Amino acid sequence: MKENPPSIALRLHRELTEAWSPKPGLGRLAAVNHSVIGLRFMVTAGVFFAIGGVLAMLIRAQLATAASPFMDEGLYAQVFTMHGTIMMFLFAIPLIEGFAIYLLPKLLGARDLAFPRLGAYGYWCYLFGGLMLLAALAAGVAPESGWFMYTPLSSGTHSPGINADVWLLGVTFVEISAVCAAVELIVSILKIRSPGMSLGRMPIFAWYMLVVGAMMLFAFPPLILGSILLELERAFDLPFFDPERGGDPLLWQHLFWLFGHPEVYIIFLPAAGVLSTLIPVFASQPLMGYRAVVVAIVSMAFLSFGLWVHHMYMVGISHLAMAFFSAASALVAVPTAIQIFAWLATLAHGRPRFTVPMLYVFGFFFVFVIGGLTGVMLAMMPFDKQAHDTHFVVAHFHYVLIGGFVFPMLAGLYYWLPHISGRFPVHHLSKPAFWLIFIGFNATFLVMHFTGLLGMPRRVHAYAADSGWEIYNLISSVGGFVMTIGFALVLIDIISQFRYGRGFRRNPWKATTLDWAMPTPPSLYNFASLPHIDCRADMMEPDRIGNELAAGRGYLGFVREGRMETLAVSMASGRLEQVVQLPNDTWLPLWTALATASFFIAMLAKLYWVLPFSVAAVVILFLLWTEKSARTSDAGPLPVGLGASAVPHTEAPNAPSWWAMLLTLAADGTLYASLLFGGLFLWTSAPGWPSAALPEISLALSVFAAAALVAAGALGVVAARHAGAAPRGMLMASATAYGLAMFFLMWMAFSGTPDRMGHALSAVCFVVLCYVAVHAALGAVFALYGAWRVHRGYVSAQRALDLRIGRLWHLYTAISGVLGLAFVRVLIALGSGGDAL
Amino acid sequence: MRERGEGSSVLLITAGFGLWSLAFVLLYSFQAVGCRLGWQELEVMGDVTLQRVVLIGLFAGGIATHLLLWRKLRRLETMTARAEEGFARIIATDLAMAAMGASLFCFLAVFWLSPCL
Repeated sequence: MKENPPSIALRLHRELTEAWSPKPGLGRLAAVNHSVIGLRFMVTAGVFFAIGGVLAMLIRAQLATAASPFMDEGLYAQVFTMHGTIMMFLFAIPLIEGFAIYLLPKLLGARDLAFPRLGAYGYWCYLFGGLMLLAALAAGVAPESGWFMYTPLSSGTHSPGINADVWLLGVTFVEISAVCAAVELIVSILKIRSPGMSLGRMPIFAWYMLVVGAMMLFAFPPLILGSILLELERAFDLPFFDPERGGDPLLWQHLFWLFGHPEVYIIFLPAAGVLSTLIPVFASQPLMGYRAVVVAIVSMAFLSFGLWVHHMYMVGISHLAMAFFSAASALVAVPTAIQIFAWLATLAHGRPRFTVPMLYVFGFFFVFVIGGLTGVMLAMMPFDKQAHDTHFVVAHFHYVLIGGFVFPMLAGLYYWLPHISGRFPVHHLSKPAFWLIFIGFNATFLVMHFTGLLGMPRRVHAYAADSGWEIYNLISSVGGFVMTIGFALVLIDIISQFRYGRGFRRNPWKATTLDWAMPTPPSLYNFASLPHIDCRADMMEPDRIGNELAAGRGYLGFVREGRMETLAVSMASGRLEQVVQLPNDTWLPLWTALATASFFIAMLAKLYWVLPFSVAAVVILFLLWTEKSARTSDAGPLPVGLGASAVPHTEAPNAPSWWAMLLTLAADGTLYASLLFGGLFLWTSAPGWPSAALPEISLALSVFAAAALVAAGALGVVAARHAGAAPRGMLMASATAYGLAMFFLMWMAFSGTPDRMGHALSAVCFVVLCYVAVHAALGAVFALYGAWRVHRGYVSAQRALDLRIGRLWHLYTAISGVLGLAFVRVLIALGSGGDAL
Repeated sequence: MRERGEGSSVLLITAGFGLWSLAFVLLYSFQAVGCRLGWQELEVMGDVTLQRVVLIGLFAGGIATHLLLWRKLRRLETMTARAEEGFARIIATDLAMAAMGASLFCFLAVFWLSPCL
């Protein structure tokens, strides 16, 4: 007898639930599923937002009246530094990550992201890094040099305690999470979609997150490098930022803002993606100008990397250089305006429904446009010179960040809350909460523009009673507390919706995206079967599709040997390509994050002898991640339903993990390029050059090291090409060559730069050589690991993914190594006074 | 079709503004290096300094490359048969045009502003 669709759906649901079931009790900490990890990110970010908000209230309490005795200047410095640090690094970015991790597979018609364990590892890094910062705050040793940690204030001379180290190490730890998320999001969006979903059919939110992922990948490495260099200066006295020893404090500003300005758009664009998703739903009208919006967000991403110096207009940069940055700063308003007009046109052509999410959309339009306009004012040098470092700037960036991020994210929260809770909101408190936030926000920050124009500087804990600023500050403080009451109401509203919200069947907003084509709250596997997409994925019928997918009438509408599977497609066309086997819940991400934490804690405690053990533990734990993917025979193409078949990802030419390695190397290369830029910057701009004592790097040793690197890389590359021939010997030879290269490099680094604490030239050469040596060491690990996999029979001509991933590393290490060795020689020539060039 | 081909079709999207970024880095770097080496003092064409000549040369080269890229992408766009693959090329062409406009707007000041003051 044939099963009817409801009983098929029920049977399939049971089978899938069994395959995807999480571990019970404490085992929940081993969860890697994207819905669980995404929610953890969002809830944790919410907690940090509350803590950052309390700090903001302390700031407003201090400034409410002139010469307030509430906090002394030291404590005030810790409070405003931690407020900025928490809001930027522990709230905004992680909330975006969590939102995207939770939502993207559902929008793309997938069962999970490409690398669930990486998401879990990123979450633990974020949590532990955040806790490090909070513990310092509780202990009274929180960072106190501002969220941008300008040198020389944050250098050892002026900040001798561990406060600055906490920031440098804690934030870098958290940034690991951001880079992991960037890699995971980019690969998932490009590869892990439903078949048929070409780039032109992707939901607009996926475009936004693709662009944001790419921005994170290239924006965070300069800051990570800056943090490493500053920590090296503080811990080991390498003088990168000390102008008396060939360093330059401006190098920190360049590295920081090279991250810091794109960061503003990294925060804004996901929120804009939310708006582009929900405005069409509430306007009952597809997004106007989809193509123009895609062009606008890609343009915006690039332009945002050309603005960083507009934070540095006052440091003495030539007119021409300032013109480049000022023009780019003004130009970035164009793609922003394109999006705003697309949303307005969508509303104008549709029949808008004014629900609670739309209230926040209204709030966004009002607040963000004002913030954008004051941003254009500040991009103009003559005005910036007047308003620089005043409360006008504080008001401006709060209009941009709260208007451009918090309001849209609250709209998104109210929109997707029924998806998460499975209950439709009652909305008794929602509207009062909105109006309290909206009125409180404007009372706080609109008035702050005037405080700034009257000349009140930022980051001061007290002001004179006759300054004329007191009444404005008092209004701002009252407004701040009103806004806080609004946020507290939002929290109560959310809790009450989980408790008292009413049930609904499916798709309560009449949306047209795949995230609503599933039961809510969603199952861990998202879709019982995966759809074939033949139109734009934000113009679909979730009600009809949802029933068909639940009944298994799509791809992978079955469970294969208890495995968790999803599909990968070709990037541009969305053609079915691979079956991706997803990992089960595992403790490995947590253990790996704990091992990573031991490194940062040991650095903070100056227990340097622990560091090699921490690094070894991290490497070994990461290698253990690959254990489950080992196969000793080729599987060949597997049926996936609807008459189609695809190879498992371990046998595909370029599996998601191959792309992940490519992207990781792109981030690594950005860090390296920033380091080389830093060296050249010091030569062009820093005082104290040429150096009196030059590094003594032997030409012969440089040539030997380069030859060893090239040989090691070439052997690794050739081994990957001949994976079918069990190239164990080649890989062992590659590892040996890496060992030799490492020896030469470390010899040069330690014996060739005796003046590395005396001048930045030697310090830069030392770090470049160490960078190459570390890559050679990891190259040896890749080669040895490949040899072991070959030895165990896990590699064949088809199952060559391990060696192909290694090949990317070998290529990068050889090229960057030779470049680094050449750079060191050129920098020494320049640093010796080779101005005749 | 190999995945690498598809990867490069995605990369085309970044070509236009990738070129803008390269022009930005080169102009900013040569402005700094030229000032460090005193090129602003070396007059090579009447009272036009070596610094100005180098920067204008880079600017002109950048705009010419933008034009070539745009023409190439236009050709590729018309050659693309499959609609689902064509989207990347269409927006790549749009972006190449936008990037050329951005280069003109951002870098035109090389003709008159003082490079080292």
